This record gives sequence, C-alpha cells and structure tokens, in this order.
Amino acid sequence: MSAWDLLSLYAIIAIWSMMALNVFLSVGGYHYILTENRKGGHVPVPDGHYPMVSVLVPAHNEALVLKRTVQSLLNFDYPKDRYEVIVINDNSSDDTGGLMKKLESENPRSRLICVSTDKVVGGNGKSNALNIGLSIAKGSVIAVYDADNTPERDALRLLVENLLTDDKLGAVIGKFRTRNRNASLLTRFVNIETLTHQCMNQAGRYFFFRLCTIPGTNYVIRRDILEKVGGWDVKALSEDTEISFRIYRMGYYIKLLPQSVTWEQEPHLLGIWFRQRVRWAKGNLYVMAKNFKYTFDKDAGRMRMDVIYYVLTYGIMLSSLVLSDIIFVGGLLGFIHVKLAGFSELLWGMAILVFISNVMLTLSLEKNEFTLESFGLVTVMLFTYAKLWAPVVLKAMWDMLLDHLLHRRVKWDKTVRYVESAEDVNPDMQSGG
Amino acid sequence: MRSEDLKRIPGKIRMGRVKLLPAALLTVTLLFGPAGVRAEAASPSSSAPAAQASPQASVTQPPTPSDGSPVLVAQSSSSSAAPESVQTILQENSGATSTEDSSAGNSAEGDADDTVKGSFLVIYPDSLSGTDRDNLSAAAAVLTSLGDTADYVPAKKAAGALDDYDNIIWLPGTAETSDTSGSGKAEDAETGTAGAAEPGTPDAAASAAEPDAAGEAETNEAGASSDKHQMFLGSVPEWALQDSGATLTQSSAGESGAEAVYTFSGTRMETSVSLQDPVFLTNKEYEEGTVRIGSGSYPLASGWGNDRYLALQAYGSDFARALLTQEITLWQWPYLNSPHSYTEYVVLDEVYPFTDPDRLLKLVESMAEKKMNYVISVMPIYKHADYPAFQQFCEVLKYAQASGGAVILHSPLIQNGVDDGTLQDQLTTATENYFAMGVYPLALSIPSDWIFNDELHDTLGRYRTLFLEDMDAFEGREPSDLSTAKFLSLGSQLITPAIPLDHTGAGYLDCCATAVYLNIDEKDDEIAAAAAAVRDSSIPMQPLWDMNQTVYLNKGGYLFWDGSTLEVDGSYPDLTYRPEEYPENFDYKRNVYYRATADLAGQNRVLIIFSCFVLVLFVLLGIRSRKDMRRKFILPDDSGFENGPGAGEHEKADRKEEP
Repeated sequence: MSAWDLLSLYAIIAIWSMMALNVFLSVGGYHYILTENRKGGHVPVPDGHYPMVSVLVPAHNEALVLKRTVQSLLNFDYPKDRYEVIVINDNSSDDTGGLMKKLESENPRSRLICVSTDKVVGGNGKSNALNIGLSIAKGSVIAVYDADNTPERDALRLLVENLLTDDKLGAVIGKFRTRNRNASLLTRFVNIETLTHQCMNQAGRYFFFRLCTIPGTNYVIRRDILEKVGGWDVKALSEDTEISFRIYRMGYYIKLLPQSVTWEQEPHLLGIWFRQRVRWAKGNLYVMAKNFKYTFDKDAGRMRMDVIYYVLTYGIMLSSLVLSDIIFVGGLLGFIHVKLAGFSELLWGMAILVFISNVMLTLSLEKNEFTLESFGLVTVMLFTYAKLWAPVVLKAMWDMLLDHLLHRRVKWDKTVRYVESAEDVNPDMQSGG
Repeated sequence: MRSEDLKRIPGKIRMGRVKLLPAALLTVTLLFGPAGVRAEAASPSSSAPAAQASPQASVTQPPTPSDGSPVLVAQSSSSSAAPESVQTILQENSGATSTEDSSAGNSAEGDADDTVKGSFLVIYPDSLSGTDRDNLSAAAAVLTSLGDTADYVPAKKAAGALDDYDNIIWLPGTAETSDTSGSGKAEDAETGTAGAAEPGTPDAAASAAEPDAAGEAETNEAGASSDKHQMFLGSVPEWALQDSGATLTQSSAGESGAEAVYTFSGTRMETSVSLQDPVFLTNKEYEEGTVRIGSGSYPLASGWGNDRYLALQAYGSDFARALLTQEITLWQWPYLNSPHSYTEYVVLDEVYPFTDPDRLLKLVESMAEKKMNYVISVMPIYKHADYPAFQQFCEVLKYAQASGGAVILHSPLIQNGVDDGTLQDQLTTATENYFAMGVYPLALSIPSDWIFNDELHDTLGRYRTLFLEDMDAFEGREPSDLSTAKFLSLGSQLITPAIPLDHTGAGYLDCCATAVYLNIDEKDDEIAAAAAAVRDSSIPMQPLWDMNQTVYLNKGGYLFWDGSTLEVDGSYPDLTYRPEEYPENFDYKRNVYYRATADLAGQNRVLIIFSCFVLVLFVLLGIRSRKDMRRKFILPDDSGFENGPGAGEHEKADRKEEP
C-alpha cells in the first residue's frame, strides 16, 4: 500500500460519485426542460394585470455593448407602461454616461433611467450598483440584466408571469446563452459549458429538489424580499449566489424557466475568461464559507443541499481532479506508481464516454447545437477547457488566502468587453433589439 | 548431492558447493566441465540425446556405454557408484571417441565465453525470402528441440566453414549452387585443385562440401564413419550423388500440388504440399515416406551413406517440421536399432491458485483414474501464500503429486523486460511458497525468447528440466541470432511443445521429449479428449518423476530428486498425500484500504454496467429530444409547442373538440 494508492482510490471514488450525481441531475434536467419546452412557458397573469417591473442594469465601463443591451430591453414584449429600465452607470471611466444620455434622448417615451455614480458612492462592484438601482426602483418586481445582454423579446414577460404563479416563489431565473459563440474556440467551449453545466444542472436540481441558484442576469425577484434581506451583499463577488441562499433561508424558492433566454457576450480571450472565472469562484467560495454553518441547521431548509453541493464541488471534486491529474502526469513521468486492484483503462474510457454523452444529451435539446462539430468540441473540451477549472479554483483560493492575510479589499475584476463582428454572433440568436 | 547437479549450479553457489564434494566426484565434475551432460560428443553422432529429457531408457538404469548415450553415464556417475568405476566408464567412453570429444568438451567448458561452436552447420540461401526464413527458423527450432547446437552461414560463406563441421544441413535453395558445378568438381578433385577454389563461390562451397574434394581422402580411405554427414533439403547436387547408386528424378516443371505421406512413430500422416520443380531421389538403401504427384509416386526422404535428402521445399508447416525432426534423428543415429524413444507429457497449463479447486481435483482424479502421467504447470505466487485459497489449491496439487502427477512452475508473467535478479527472486519466492505447502515444482516452463536472452541463462541453469512454452522466438529471427548453443550448453533437459499433426493437438514424434499443453479453461470433455489422444498415441508417457530433477534457488534453497529420494532444503519430505485442515475463520488482516480496493475491484463491473446503461439511456433520450426539436423547428404546424400566453391551453381545448 502506498499513499498514492490511497489518494488514487479517493480520487476514483470521488470522481465517479460526482459523475453519477451529474448523470442523475441530467436525467431530471432533461425531463424538466423537455416538459417546459412543450408547455411554452407562458402563464396567464391573474386578471391580465402585469406588475410594475424595474429592470436594473449595472454598467461599469460598458460603452461598447450597452447600446445594444438597452435597445433589447426597451424592446421587451411587456406592457411599455409596466416596466422601467434603470442603468446604473457605476463610476465608469469610458463613455458609458454619454452613451446613456444619447439613448435617453433617442427614446423619450420609454422609461429609461440612467443613474451615474462616482468613485465615492459607486465603483464598489455589482452588488453596490444593484443596491443603488433598487433604491430608486418603482417596480414591485425587480429584474436584473448584465450590461452585455441582449434578451429575447419575451424573456421578461415569461419570467414575470411565472413569478406570479406562486407566492412562495421568490425569484424566477431564465437561461443565458452565448451570443458570440463563433468568436473563438474558447467561446465555443463556453457556449457548451453554459448549456450543460449551468442550465442543465440547474434544471436537474430544480426538478428534483426545487433548488436553483440565481445566475446574475435574466432573473426577476420580488422587491419585498430584497427589502427584507437588505438588498445585495456588497462583500459578495457572487451576489447572485449569495442572495439565492438567503431567499431559500427565508422559505422561498427559485424557479428555472428555460424558455426565457438572454444572450450575453462571453470572454473571447483566455486571460479575460480566467479572471472572470476566478472572480466567480471566489464569490462561490465566499458564499459557501458564509453558509456552511447552515449545513446542520434544520431550519435552513433545502438550501442546505445547495451548501453540500458546493462543498462537494469545491472540496471533493476539486481535490479529486487535482489528485488524478497529478497521479496521471506523475505516472507518465515515472514518478508515481499506482498498483490499485480493479482500476482499468476500460473504466477510464467509459467515464469519458459518459461525460461526452451527458453533454451531447444537453445539446440535443438546443437548436443547431447537436452536431458532429459539437461532438468533436466536447471531446477536445474534456482534455483542455475542462482542465482549466481546477487552476481557476486554486487561483481563487490563493487570492482569498492573500486577501485574508493581507487584509486586502475584495476587488471586483471587471470583465472586459469587445466589439463583436457579425461572424462572431450565434446565428440562432433571436435578438430582442 | 550429485555431481552433475552441482555442475549446474552457476556462479558463486556452484563454487561454494564444489568445496564440499568428495574428491572423486569433484574429478568427475572437472572432467565433464560445467556442461558435463554434453559429453554426448563421445557419440559418433553429436545429436545423441544427452540434453533431452527422459529417454525411454530410464535414467535409473545402469550405464551402458555401448548404447552410445554418454548422458546415461553422466547421470549414473552421480549414483552410488564408486569413483573408480565412474572413471572406468569415462575412460571407456573416451576410448570410443575421437579427439574431437575432448575438444567438444573444451568447447562446452568455454560456455561462459561468447562463442560456442555448434555441432551442426546449417547453410541457408544468400538472399532470404519469406519461405527461406521459415525454413531457417524451422531448422533452428528442430535442432534445438533435439538438443543439438548449430551454426548458420549463408551459402556464399559456406566454403570456409565446411571443414569445421561433421554435420551439415543444406536448406532449400543452397545446394543448387553447388549442383551447377558438380561435374567440374570431380575433375578438380582428381587434379587436386579443389581446395584452391575461391571462397565464397559456388565452386568453393561444393568443393569443400564434397568429401573427396575437401582433402579428406585419408579418412575416406580408412573407411572410417567420420565422413561428413550431409542432409540436403529440397534439392541435391549431382556431386553429392557420386557413387551413391541413387537415381535423381525431376518431376514435371512448374508448381505441383502433391500429397506427402509419412509415418510418424507408427502413425501414418498425409498432407498436401506444394512443390516447385521438385527433385526426388530413388535409392534402395534408404527411403521413407512418399510424395504422390498425379499418378507418380516418389520417395519423400532418401538416403545414401551418411547423407540424406528430403524432397520438401518448405518446412514451415507442422508436418514438414515433424518430418525434419524425425529424419534428422534417424540420419544422426549410427546404429541399426531404433533411436531412443522419448516421452510426451500432458501439461495442464497456467493453473492459477484461484482455479476452482473442485474442478482441478476432478481433472486430477480423472487423470489418475486413467493412469495417466501428467504435469501441472502452476503460476508463481509471491504473497498471500497463507491464505486458505492457496492452501486448498496446494492440497489438490499435493494429491496430484501423490497420484502420478508432477508439478512444474510456470514462468512469471513479465511485461516490461526480464531482469535476471528480479526473476531469480521471483522464482525463489514462488518456489519456496509452494515448498512450504508441500508442493514441489520439479521444473520450470519458460517462453522461447528466454533461450536467446543470455542474461537469463544463469537463472535457467538452475533447473535441470526446462519446458518450452512455445517456439515463437525462432520465427523471424536473423540467422546471426539463431544460435542456441550457449543455451544448450547449460545442459538442461529440454521439453519442447509437441508438434500437432492432427486436430487433437497430440504429437506423434518420439525422437525428443515433448509436451502437449492443455488449457484447463476448456471444457472437461475437450481436455479429456486431448489427454486421451496423447495416451492412445504410440508415444510413451513417462512420469516426470522418472527423471532426475534439480532446482536451485537463491539463498541456498534447493530441490533434488534422484528417482527415488526427494531432498528439499536439507529435508526429505514424504510425498504421500495426507489431507490437512485449515482454519475456516482466517484472519486476512485486511485494513480499510484493502477492503476498499477489493470493493473497487468488485465495483468495476458494476461501474461498467452503469456506464453502459447511462450511455444507452442518453442515446434514447437524445433521440427523443431530437424528435421534439424537429417537430418544433421543422414541422411547427404539427409541433404541439406553444408560443404565447395560454396558447397551450387553447390548443389542448381545440384538440379536445376534434372528433
């Protein structure tokens, strides 16, 4: 027996357990999405009365993409007098403010409001900007969209209609797709990832456990809930995840509505992507640490399962993947020798096949995504893009450790936008703009 | 402890034990040298079966110098005979041998050197086709199985080597070159210029090969039987037939389909062969077998004087290889009576400790019931030898040992090269584990590539008897790498795989010791049928216990069997079977790790089944969702998908109203 044997054993058990969990969630998610697709997603509003909605759009240096976003938001298939768009120009140093003035003047009849902050009030991240927007919002329902989004026309209406179906429904989230799918190999990977590990996974969790996590964009939430919880947590880099946990603790639940779609621009360069994902990982780790104490609190309700899920992901899954990679590379170089009984290459191959088939099942639910090209991408992705997840989380952990030791202020790492070319855009996108 | 066994002890161990020898036995040892069993050089035919296992003339018989088998002398010298008688026997044998005998002994003495001269010269074509390579491999395999050493030269270099060998085999495609100059050679011989032929030319080859032209007139005049023994395969030059009285017949030109018929040890075998412009030799002096072409019938093997001719041109087939084996044996046998008859062993191959003990017991009992002598080749076990499963396995082996069976150790399964030190350690550990359970592996079975691995010879020399598991290593080997002289100089009793001549897999050759390997994973009736075929053949079956056996391990461990007494590590175990009881509640001392590992191994199958299930499920779900997508995007009118608030409800209502 060697330590490497033990570690290998641990990694194998952990990876297969997580894979089994993902298969389980995929089956549930598949059933849920297919059923929802057949329903269409629209639900009649009681008395035909749509509530007032305030659409919040935090924008920090978003001049490159904001015009398209605002146009999409103003073009919602929602009663024009029943929603307002509030853009929070959060201490931007680019021409976001000027652009907003221009858009306001171009759309005099629309309820388009632009709030600009300076570095004293603003510039403290998305949560802070959202709280500023909330302070002037008039709607009983709050919708949030990122500044790079182009939601489909019916996205908001679908979300609101469903929110009104159940008083215990605290929020409804939609799906986000990759607008610039064809920009690079990276954006193609991101496109598959968002469909698979975010949408499908969410759908599975919702189907089995009525659990969802707010993704940060394309969601509606009851205003009274926000007021009760005191708005968004300004310390959280993943304000969406953090507030999701609080919603659950209050006894509400969150619903996923896959028919409500927004298209967003994803990082097309690895460096930008890496910084964005490190920020997400730091945010999730913060939330996990903050809520871990509720794991054993019966009153915390079903959110405890989400905490466990995060612990499994960032604890068990991360460590097992890192270990298996170390053992694999060490074995190739001849430094590590594992003599585990029962370990076979067939099993390894089967694991890969399960992964690929799992992803392809998700893609089969999307228009023009279930292709041979996608199959090739998934296969390549497994050995490249998927391997980046561990470095991302490790970097996030390292940053958090330094933040803690050096008492550094948590920094919001803004995702840098770029101007898309026509070729970059996913041809399946139904722009609301 | 016996002398020839001690000679087999390599390196330091051997030296340490020699010091303990009585002086007389030490003399025997020194006279025979480390490869004393190769004293068969005393025979006019150096292919005497000294290095082969279990001649039917049992080793327990007293030596009979007149039978020309000095190996028996060597073996008997280790018995209780007085040193004087041993010396006498040796001297008698020495008297019957030429000075070559001692030189052969010296050659064997020099086994540790890189060059070991073979007793045969095999001449192959200068340019090797695929068939030529097969012929070469077959010749090497056959000679090795007969315990004969050989050197290999291309035809163009044969001239310089012929003088050094008494036994020469001309492979197909080599004798033609000399045939073209055969007539000229007679003149050359008469004028005494034959020896002046340019080396490397056909003339030179022919002149050297032809006894007269080779300047051996004195020998010929003396009429001694030390003339060269030549065997021609596929074709024969005219010069070789001078004064032979043989008639050369050439069949019709072109490729001919033919039937070859030959009787192996009383069993007539017939097979189709392909011959290109075949040449046959009719000679009343010696003819064996028949080749039928159309209505014509010709001798398959012919002989005159010391020479032989085989008409087949390709020796890659089992039939041809068996024919070559048989004919070489007869060719080399100098007496009127028949050569020694050797045993065929039935080997239950690759028997693992996790073999179902009940089934193994059933097989063993079946063999014992039929009075069969059989061998069980057990896989080496390095750890967990105290587990009940291993103990139960050994119970069956002990029972087999006591009821006519013998146990040998199968070679370890080594994937990444063989290291001599590791191999010796493994063999020692495995053998000691079996010793501890009262099971005594008498020999080792090895893959044929170990023959050519000089680094392993130290290990192989520790076993008096070696079973060859296959002959694969002879195939495709370059001529320069084909020599097995160094391996054979170890003096091991070699048991090669039987050449199957029919569907039963049984061999029909008794000119060398062979083994028929049976896979115990086969069905019982198939094993029984194969065993019965061996038993019912004319080849004798002798117990492995009939031969002397020695096994030397690391750290001084050893096994010694002299045909009557078994000595193992200084004790004399009784082979009588006595059942032993083993604790039912064995403490495996397995910790969490071992349990988890074992569980993982067990779960492997479950995981694979799970994966297959998931794959099938996902494919089915994928098909279903694609159908839905098709209806949604390609056939929207019939989709059933809803596109507006309450649309689904309306549509459902509409549908309900439809008849």
